[in-house]
Amino acid sequence: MIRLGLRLALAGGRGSVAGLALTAAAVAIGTAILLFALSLAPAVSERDARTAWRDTLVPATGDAGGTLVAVFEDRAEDRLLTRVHVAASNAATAPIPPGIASLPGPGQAFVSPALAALMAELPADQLTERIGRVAGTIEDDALAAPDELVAVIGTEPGVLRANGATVVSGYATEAAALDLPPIGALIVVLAAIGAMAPVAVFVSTATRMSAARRELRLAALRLVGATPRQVARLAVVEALVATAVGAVGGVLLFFLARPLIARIPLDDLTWSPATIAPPPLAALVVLVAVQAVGAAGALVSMRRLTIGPLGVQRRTVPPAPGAARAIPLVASIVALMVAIWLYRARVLPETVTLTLSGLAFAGVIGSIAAAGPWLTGLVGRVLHRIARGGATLLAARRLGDDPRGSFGAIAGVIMAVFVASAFHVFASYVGSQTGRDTDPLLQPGAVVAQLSSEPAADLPGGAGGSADLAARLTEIDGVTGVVAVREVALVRGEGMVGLGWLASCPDLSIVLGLSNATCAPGGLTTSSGATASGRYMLYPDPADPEGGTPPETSIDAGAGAPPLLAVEGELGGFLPTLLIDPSALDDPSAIANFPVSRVYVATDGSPGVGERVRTAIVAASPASIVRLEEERVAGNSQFAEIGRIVAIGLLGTLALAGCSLAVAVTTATLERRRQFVFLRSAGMSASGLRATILLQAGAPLVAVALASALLGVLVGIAVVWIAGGSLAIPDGSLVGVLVASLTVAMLIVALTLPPLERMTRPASVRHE
Amino acid sequence: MTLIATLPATRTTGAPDHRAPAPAAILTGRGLEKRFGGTEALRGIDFSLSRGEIVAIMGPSGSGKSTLLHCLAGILTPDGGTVEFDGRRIDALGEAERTRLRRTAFGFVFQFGQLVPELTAMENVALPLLLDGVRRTHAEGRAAEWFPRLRLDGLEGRRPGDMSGGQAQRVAVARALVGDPSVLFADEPTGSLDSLAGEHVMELLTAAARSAGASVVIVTHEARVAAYAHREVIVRDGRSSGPVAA
Amino acid sequence: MSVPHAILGLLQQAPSHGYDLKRLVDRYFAPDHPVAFAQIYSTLGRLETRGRVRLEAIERAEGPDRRLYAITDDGLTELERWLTVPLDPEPHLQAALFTKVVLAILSGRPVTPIVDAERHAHLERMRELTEIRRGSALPIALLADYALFHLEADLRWLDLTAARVDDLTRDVLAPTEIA
Repeated sequence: MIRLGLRLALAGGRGSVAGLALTAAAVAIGTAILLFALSLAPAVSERDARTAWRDTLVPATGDAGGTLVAVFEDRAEDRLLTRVHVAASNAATAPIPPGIASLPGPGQAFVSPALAALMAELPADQLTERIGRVAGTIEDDALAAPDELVAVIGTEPGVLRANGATVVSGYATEAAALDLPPIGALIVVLAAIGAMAPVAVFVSTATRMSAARRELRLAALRLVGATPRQVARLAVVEALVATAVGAVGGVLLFFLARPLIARIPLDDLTWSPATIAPPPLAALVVLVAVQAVGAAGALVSMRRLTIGPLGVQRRTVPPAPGAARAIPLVASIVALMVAIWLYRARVLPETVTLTLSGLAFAGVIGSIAAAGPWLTGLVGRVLHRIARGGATLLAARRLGDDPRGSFGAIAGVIMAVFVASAFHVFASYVGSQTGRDTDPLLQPGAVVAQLSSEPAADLPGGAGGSADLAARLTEIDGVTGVVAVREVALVRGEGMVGLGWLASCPDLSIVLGLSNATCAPGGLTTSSGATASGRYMLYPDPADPEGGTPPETSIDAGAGAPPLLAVEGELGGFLPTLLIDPSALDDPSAIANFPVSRVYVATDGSPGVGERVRTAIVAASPASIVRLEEERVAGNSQFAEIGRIVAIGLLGTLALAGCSLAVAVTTATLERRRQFVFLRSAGMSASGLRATILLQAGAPLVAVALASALLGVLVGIAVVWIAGGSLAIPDGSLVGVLVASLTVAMLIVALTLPPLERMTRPASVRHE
Repeated sequence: MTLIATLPATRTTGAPDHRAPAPAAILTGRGLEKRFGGTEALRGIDFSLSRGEIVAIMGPSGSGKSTLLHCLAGILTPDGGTVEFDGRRIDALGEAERTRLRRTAFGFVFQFGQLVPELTAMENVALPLLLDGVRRTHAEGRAAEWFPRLRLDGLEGRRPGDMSGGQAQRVAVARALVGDPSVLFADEPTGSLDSLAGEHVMELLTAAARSAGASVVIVTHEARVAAYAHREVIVRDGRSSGPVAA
Repeated sequence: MSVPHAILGLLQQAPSHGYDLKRLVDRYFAPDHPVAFAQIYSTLGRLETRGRVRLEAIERAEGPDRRLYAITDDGLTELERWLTVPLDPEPHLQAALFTKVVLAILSGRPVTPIVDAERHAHLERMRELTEIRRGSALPIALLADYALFHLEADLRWLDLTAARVDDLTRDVLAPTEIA
């Protein structure tokens, strides 16, 4: 029986083998996607384990510890650069970080291979000077990914202690538990379901697509005396051929695509391909499930046909799907809203509400499948009304007559589009929530640095204090201006009346490139509305955690030329309201005692100048956070990452859809081959044939996809609103991705045109 | 001897008068040859069709008669010989040109009709016009005229699956004639019908073609169908016999 | 064979003279090709011999004898039998056509042109009949249909014969017993 089934499946000629191949391709893509989806969690935890030694620093208890460690996030060439500064606190027991041979001494560093390459590439004053002399490389399994930039830098213990280092007696090997914000957990659950559903649908529809062509073959068998059960068995065998080949193909595709997928960053880090692997048991379940779904699909489609010996006797034509099919969709959307409200209201345990939400979301996706045929039928009816030409009329009638079949090929797409649109909204919301740690007003080429501590006077390289630093920065090739900013608190009596910056406003305006200097003299307004006058004390803000006597100075708010400058206009939104010009201090020289908290550097934007500035600052004050103007989108990187994943997912599923559609449209056309041959004999042009086929595939795809995207966006907005309480309006990038994905799907369909054209050519058919 | 004596031998009206000079040929084939793989379907056939004429191509199965029709209609390109329509050689035209010719100047009726099952009868008849770019309301208007002429009143909204074979075939005839073709090509038009339905189709086909001024080429193996034509051409083993021209 | 039965049927309606019978036979059965008087009278004679009709009366009047014939009981029985019992489906061997084909083979003439010519003639005739059918009253149309079907039957026999001409030639030229 199996051998017969195999022979029949493959003996149908080039056309039927092509159909099987397309189905297998669809199954392969779907399987690969599922495997990647399953690999995400293990990959993340594996990666976290690899970086745990620097992500989680456990302070040693007592004085058992021996190594001072401080980790700083840096960037080079707009790539994340992780600097791990180490020093032996207790030489006898100083544990060495994993991946390196020994603890680097001051001025030495162990670097990752990628960083070593970058250091060789860039001039020393752009990178090497903040790292040190390379003493060796870091092993691969201490790195998150092969292209990660990591340096273990030997530093003077005193500098480390001044910069908030931790003394450790050992290194973590496991990541701390993920601390997701509540809405994050929800999103992860929904994402898991969203990824699986479309693919499952695809696999099942892909295997059912070739059902139509089986009928003739199977009818012949019935004529010879095969029982319906034997015939069903043969159908299953044929379906399994496609799914088995597809599953193997999917595994191959997984391994082939893995190096590429590993380069998609999450949290600014890429992956080591070896870490991307699904749990073996889960993978096995997926592979088996794919076969089961394929077999089940074949059986289901057999049930709808009664194959008598004379061919399909009665195709039990179900009545046209009615509008009632939209009800489950509405109901599950309502259920989803309720579940999310319950989650937020915390009236039930979180696991319960999360499960409910997940189920409701799955319900929404499932009911899209139910409502789809109705919508397709609607599209057919609308198309029929507006049809002008023959091709449109043909496509419209086909859609209207068999909405289920037409929708079946794109059911998975629609679900994927819905999920992707909803997640696009989620991503927008997440993106808007992450704080912006850089100032929006930076000029191109500008650099802003937040110094965490006073640049030490005894650092190698001779950076002696902030004045020194400022002077050194000014000397760098390409720097056009440097402004040092000190943050201060104004105090009168017992209370603080305001925060301010000690900086020269004109200088700041120049560096920030503000068009109209809105540094206008103004007064200090107290909370009671009165204009302040008299003397105020200034202290550094934040206060020095080390304690001791804080530096102080004072300022007279009432003396002749007002020393306080109120900041208005462009600056008002982001700079503190008070800019105090140092010259207005009672004792201008006291400013030297106030630590510099910020440095703004203006450059001419020439290549490398940003890195040079950064290197100089970091070398003097390792814990500083230095950001170049072009990196100020750092706050949005998470959004960009999710957006990228969504886009890739959408592209992948739409490629799947294209295969599915291609099979469906080919089947439908070949079923009516005689008709098309006749129509072309009677004068239908090749372009008419192409138009019919593309319209038949494209009309429902585009219409239902757009409706689905709209629905996804609305549901996404509603979910965020109920769960997070704010309105997240997505940007227009979704439209671009959608258009690109739809184009990809239609291109795949268009691939079927040349062979279909060939097969319906009148001259190709032997007429006698 | 049967009592039923022969009925009078009256000259058929409407046939070209053999005493007058032969009217201009609208479609001619000269020395047509066609091979399929190793088989030679046509081995040098001549053919001629005059304006307003109805010619039957007869012969046993496998004789090449359908191949001849397809070559004359520009569906197949002959390997040898020429086909001329209205003074122009059509065997040398490109596929796009021939497709356009078939769409505008020819009409086709095949044995199984090949109507589109999803379209109504009206839409099926209008289809050739729609494919040629005629506006839908206009096309359906022209299509509607054919229904009473072929005794299909009331069937405009029916699907092909809901009509009898004879009705479906008459819809196919309407579809073939809606574009006002110069030549109607029919390949076994009554092959799947019973005698009565077949008679109806042939009667209406020839009457409609005659009043529309179209010439007709019918491939058939049935003598009673060939009896509707003005003359017959016998094709046997890729060669023709019988009067080539009127 | 049907002339006698036609006469019997007409006589069942009412006794008739020979002259009237001929007129009626012409009108009902052979509108365009009148039957010869001689055939009528000879048929009547045979029928009388067999006792199917009898001479009812002889009316003397001016001109030829007007013999009045009537149907007998035997005649009625025979008529009844002929009407109700189906005709013998023995193939109507187209004697003349067969003779032509055999003669052609014997004389070494090619058979195909003869068959083709016959076919052409048949088709011509069928063409004419089809034209007559169009626009005729139903009885004529029925007649034409009848003829058409028979001519078609002839043609099919012709086609088969043409296809078998080689075997036929062999059998004709090699003397074998015709069973």
